Order: sequence, then structure tokens, then C-alpha cells
Amino acid sequence: MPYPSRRYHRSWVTQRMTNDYPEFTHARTCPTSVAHQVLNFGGSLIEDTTQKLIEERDNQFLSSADPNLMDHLYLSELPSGFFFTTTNAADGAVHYIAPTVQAKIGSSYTTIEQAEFNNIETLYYDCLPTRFEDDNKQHIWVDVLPQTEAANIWDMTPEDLVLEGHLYITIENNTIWQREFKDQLYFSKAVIKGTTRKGTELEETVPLRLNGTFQTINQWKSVSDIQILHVADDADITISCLPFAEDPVLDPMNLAVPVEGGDRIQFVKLVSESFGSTLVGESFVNEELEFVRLGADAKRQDYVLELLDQSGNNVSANGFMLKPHSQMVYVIDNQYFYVYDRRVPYPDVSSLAEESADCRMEITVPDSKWIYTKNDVATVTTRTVDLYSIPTRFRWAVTVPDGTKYRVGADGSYWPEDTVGWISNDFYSEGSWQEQMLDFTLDQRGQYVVELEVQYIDDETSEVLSRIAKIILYVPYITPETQIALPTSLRNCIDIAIDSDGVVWLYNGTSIYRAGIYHDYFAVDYQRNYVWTKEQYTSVKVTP
Amino acid sequence: MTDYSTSGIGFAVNVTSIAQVEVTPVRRNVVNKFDSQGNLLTVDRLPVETNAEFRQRMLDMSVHRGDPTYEGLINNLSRAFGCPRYHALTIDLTVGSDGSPLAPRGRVDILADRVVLYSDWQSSDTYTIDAEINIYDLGADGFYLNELVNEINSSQYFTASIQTGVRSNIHSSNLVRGTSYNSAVTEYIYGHTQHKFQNTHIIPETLWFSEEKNVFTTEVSTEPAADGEYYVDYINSYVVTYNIPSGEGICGYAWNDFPMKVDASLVHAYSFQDENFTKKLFHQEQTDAGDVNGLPNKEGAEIFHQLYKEANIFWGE
Repeated sequence: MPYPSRRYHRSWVTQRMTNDYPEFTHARTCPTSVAHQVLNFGGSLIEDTTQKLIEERDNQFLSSADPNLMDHLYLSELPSGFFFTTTNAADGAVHYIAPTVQAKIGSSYTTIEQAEFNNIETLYYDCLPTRFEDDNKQHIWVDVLPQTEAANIWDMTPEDLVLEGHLYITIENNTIWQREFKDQLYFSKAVIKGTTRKGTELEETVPLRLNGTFQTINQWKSVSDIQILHVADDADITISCLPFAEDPVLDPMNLAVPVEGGDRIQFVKLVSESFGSTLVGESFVNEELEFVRLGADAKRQDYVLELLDQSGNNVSANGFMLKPHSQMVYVIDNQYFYVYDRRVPYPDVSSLAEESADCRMEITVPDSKWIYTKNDVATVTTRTVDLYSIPTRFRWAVTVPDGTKYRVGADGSYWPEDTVGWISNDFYSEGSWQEQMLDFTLDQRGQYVVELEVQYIDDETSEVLSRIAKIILYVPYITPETQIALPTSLRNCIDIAIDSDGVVWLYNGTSIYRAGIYHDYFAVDYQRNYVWTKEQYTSVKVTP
Repeated sequence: MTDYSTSGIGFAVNVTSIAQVEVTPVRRNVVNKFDSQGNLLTVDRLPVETNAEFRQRMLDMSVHRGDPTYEGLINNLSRAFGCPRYHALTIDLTVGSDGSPLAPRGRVDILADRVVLYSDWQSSDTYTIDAEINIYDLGADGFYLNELVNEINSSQYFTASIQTGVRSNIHSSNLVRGTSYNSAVTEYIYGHTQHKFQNTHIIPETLWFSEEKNVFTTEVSTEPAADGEYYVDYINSYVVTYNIPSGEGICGYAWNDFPMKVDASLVHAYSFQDENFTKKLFHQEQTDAGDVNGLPNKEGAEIFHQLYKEANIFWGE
């Protein structure tokens, strides 16, 4: 049974910190710069702390408290004659050896793993799922309001809610966001009327700010009336009790922090490519939400993560959901359930240390772009740092993700590494240099290290000096923290979502099925002779 | 390990540790933020209650409030036992081909021992009963919910239906007592010639308007055509006036809540001040003044015995 990989990632807080540097500096613009490397560690800590504070704040209120907060554990009290195995360390300290714990799952006993750090955090919150079962509860799925043009909604009767809880209002293809009438501005909105989950008759207004999905503040038991106001007649509206129509999904755990300009909220979506599925992070081009609301809602890609399975093969995913209060994302395809850490991995920058200490020329990419999608073309250009040093000749090399190093010709063709491959500076005799540019097609996932070796002649000693500059081009991919085969009854589902009570449901196009996600771990209190488990078992066998 | 076999005691004692132990895990609740919220609201988590269920019970406190009234008692006890009241039955007026209810002034009362259907209720002195359905006694016409529904549906003035998901064979005595009758204290009349009341099925003769006697002088049965005339649609609940009200007036009325949503609860509460209940505990004796309570019957005696056992009192001197 696996533990979280705790993979090192690039934090959005890091860019915020480096944005205090001047705009022209390498520290601010390059995510693999030394400044980023130094600050990213602190940025990760700040990011985690920020999220914990947000969680604590949300948990002060009943309406926003996390229903998956730990509320119980299962205790197996061992008799007083039970002694754990111990071992003596070299310094004389006594260490306990974790016992073997077998839990009765179904009709047989299965050995379960100790929590990663034998503490509450890793027993209950940070542990990965180990079992995925059909909880034998299903409902025929009906949207409260199936996709309908806004002009026709007045004629529709809302359906009964399949599940009580928040409602999700999806608006698409809308082009009108406000109307002016008698010097008053009326903004697009949805008005839901009905009975809330706690039994009160209520009317809730949900502002519709852009084409996307909006969640109601209240949880609902039944809806008697729906009005959609001040939108285009041909805008498509869908209202349902699970966010199956949500695309993309708002990412509440991360922000897009650009080199220039303000932070932007970030969205996540699943995109099908020819090679498989990718998880795409995107944010608004326009930083002012007021303009976004008026229709300037174009988005730009922040990152693309290729989804692989545990064998390294591409995954063709059917659906995904963000696990609340977590950086994990649940993905399903026809056969498996995957749990990924959706944060962008930080590339291995150790090869950059091989750069020459006094590079007189560096290599860059436009807009300091550092991550790419498979099959993207990255244009690498030279930038002279020392104007008085004129290169005599230069040559390119690239180390591709599989570790093979190639010499690269001026036309971009790959040659064996031992090829000489020098390219002369045609303007050397005139004492000048023309910046060079080379395109690299990134047809593999992983890390490309592009190298430019430049030769100079030292003015004083006439010695030939060689300087190497490097840059990383990264096509990120993520492998699952865990991968579990779906039960036969839950295969070929097309989407997955979580309801307002924290229960996960799978959708096969007709019905929704309740998913049973279990975490089979134990923790030991060696002093009190207790074994704690998160899941309920009819029987537990403990062997020292 | 100490071997006593050679010490002269006569027996050997082996002490070894346990090789493997099989245990049945027990659940231990862990206090979290929801329990803290519960402390503020004086609600304790029930055994095996999840956070989501506990949250709903806490939110229910603001909707089904506990207080010393009958309903308050039902609310509090239902919630405390983790079996909240639920919508079980819907009773509505039967309408004719013109869309108007067949009952002139329909009303439904759910009492301790019976359900009373009024086809025409005007006051406590003036009413016509359509049907009285016994729900208390075993074997009565309306003892089970489905039987009660059948009895109501056999009336020409009322229809009833059981809510989806509710078992039809629950006891009708689970129904929370109530009435379709309501009285609104005040409602503002806005400055328009057409005003829609907040409630429907307004009871005629109970509607009154304050202050604007020049606007609400004469009630007419058709479109108002002269100063002071006004027309009231009691079923669809709106009033049309000839003159424009000032916008500062108020009105009041009694109304019936149809369709009537009747809740059920596993908690039953009976009051000894309720004649409908106490008469069930005594043999009824006919007198010139009508039926009076005589000696306790079997059920009454059992209840009284139980009460005396719990209370520090006794029969006789």
C-alpha cells in the first residue's frame, strides 16, 4: 500500500516572492533561476500554511466546514500480555518494530500498512486510498434543469433533486452580461426558489459572471421555480446537483501568478489529446474580473500535465474531480481509479549547475516560458550578455528526456553527440554577432536540456575560451500516487464528482453510483497497547 | 522466564508473550469542529452520527425550534433522538371543472384522536363537518396511514397522498397534530390597484383593511367600477380596487394552508389538558350534559399507574 510521493513541486507563492525583483531580472522571469530554486522551498511551506489557515477559517462555520473532518477512529485494544518487538539501536535507544496487522475485509484477512509516520495526520488525512468499492447505492440521474436555452426556461418545470445539497448552475454561450434600463444596470443572474435542505422556503440569487459553473450558497431539498435573468436568449443553462457539467473546474488551492500583473484564479480541466489525456491549468488573460465579466473571458494555458499510469503509459481519462482541501485529483478511465498530485513537478535543475560561471551569452525562450505540451515547438534564442566579447563560433546540443545527448545542427537536425558541429560566427571579422534562434520540437515528455557552447578568443592572452549556457525545456507529466482497479459494476463510467456531504459518485450516463473509497492503514500506540484504524473492520489480527 | 520446577514448589510456570491476538475494533468518536458548534447549540452528536448528519441536525434547530409548545416538544425530542420529523402526507382541496374548490370553506384539523374534515368552516360555532376519521384506536378506519388516505380520498371535498418514500403502513398517530387554519396578523397593502396577498385560500368574513375606508368601502363580486369598491378573489388571493391605496395601509385575514403538508414524527406527545386524548383514557358516561369521563379504562389505568410509579405520589390518602 503506497504512501504519498510528496513530490517536489513549483509553488505559486514562489513567483509572488520573486516578483519583488525588478522586471528585467533573471530571478523574476525564469522559474529555474537560482532565486527560484532558493525561494521555492519557502514558497511551498507558505502555500501549505495558507491552505491550512483557509481550512481553519472555513471550519468555523457550519455551511463551509469540511464534512470529511475526522470524527471517529476504530480502536483495537491489545491485552496486557501483548509485547511489541523491539530493537536496540547503536546508541542504545530502543525502537519498536511495527506489528503485522491483518484486517478482515469481506471474508478474508488482508495485511494492512502502518500509517506513514504513525500519526493522526497520516492515518486519517494524508493517506492514499487503498480500496475502491461499489457502495451499492445508486440513483437514476436527472438534471434539475437539463441543458436549455435561456429563452425557454420559463416553460420548464424543475425536476426533483436526485441528491440534496448545493446546486450547480452552468451557463454557456452567453454573450449578454448586463442590461441597462432607465439608467439602472441589471446584471445576469439566476434566481432559485424552493425549499432548502434544512427546511426553509427560500429564494436565492446567484450572480452569473461569466460562462462557467456556479455553486449555490445554500443547500437545497427541492426547487419550485427557476428564473434566469438578463442573459442572451440562446445562452445554454444547465442546473444539477452534482457538477458533471462543470468545465473547467475552479481550483481553490492554487493561483496563477504571472511575472507581471496581478494574480489570477486558476481553473483545471481534462483535455483529450491524440496521445492520451492531459490535465490543463488555465487562467484569464485579463486580470480585471470586471472586464472578464463583460465578455473578455479568454483564457491562457498555465500548464499542461500529461497523465500516465503506474506503468508509464498514457491514460485516456473519462472524468476527474478535485479532492476538496487537497492538491489531489481523482481521475477515472474505463478500468481504473487514479489519484494524482496535480501540482506541477519541479524539474531536475541539477544539470544547470554545469553552466559556465561567467557565461557571456545566455539562451532564453519567449515570455520565459518554461513548461510545454508534448509536440510543442520551443524557440530558443541567444542573448548576448557581454557585448564586448564576440564569439568566434558556437554549437548546440540537447539532452532529451530519455537521457540521450545529441549535437544539433543549425537546421535543427539531431546528430550523434560526438559530432563536432561547430557553427562559425559569420560576422566575427566585422566584430559583431547576430543573435541566433533554433526551434526544438518537444515530442517526448520530460525534461530537455538545451546547451549552447560558445567560443571566444581572450583579448589579452589569445587563449580560446569556451563557455556553456543551458536552459531547461520541460514537458511535464504526472504519474498516479495510487491506481486502483474499478469494480466491474463501476467500470466505463464517464464522470466522477463529490456531493455536499463529501460522498463520491460515479456517473455512467444514466445513473449515479455511490463510491466506497477506503484507506486501510493503522497506527500504533506502543505505550498503551492500542492499534488505531481509520476504517471499520469486523476483526483485526495483530502479530508482534 | 523463571523455571520453578526445581525449586521445590511442585509445579512449573511458563510465562510467554502473546504470539497473535484477534480483536474486534470499537468505534471511538473524535471531537472536531462540528462538536464545538454543537456545544454552542447544546446539541450532542449521536452515536455513529457522521459530520454531515450532525450538521443537518444542528441546522434543523433554527427551523424546527424547540420550545414549551406541543410542536416545540416534538421538534426537540425528535432531534435529540436522531429521528427528525418528516413530510409524510399532503392533503388538498378537490377542485371542480372551473378550478374552484368544491368545499365552500374547507379546513382540516389533525387532532390527538381523529382527523376532522370540514367542508365549510366559518367560525368555531358555524361549521359543517364532512368527515371525522378515527386515527387513535387499533382497528379504526384511519389507524394506518394508507387507510387514512383512503378515507380522505373517499370525500368529495378533499384528496390526500402519501409522500414518496414514506411507508404506507405507519400509524396515523405519528402525524404531527395541526390544522390547515392560519391567521395572518398584518400585511402591507402597496400603492397599486391590484394587490396579491401572501397567502391563498383566504377565509371570507375574516378579511379586514385598516385606515383606508375610502378605498375599501364596498366589496363587490365583479370588477370594481366606482369609488370605494373592491373585489377579492379568495381562492387565488388577490384584491382589485377602484381607487389607488396610499401604500401605507395594512390588512389582516385568516386563511387555510392548502395543499396542507403534514409531517410525521416517531415522537408522540399527548397532553392531559387535551380532551381529545383524555377521553380515550376513561370510560365515557352519558349524562344530560353530554358524555363525561368516568372510571379509567384499561389504557388509562396503565398510564396512570406508570405515572404514579415515576412520580412521588400515590393513590388515595
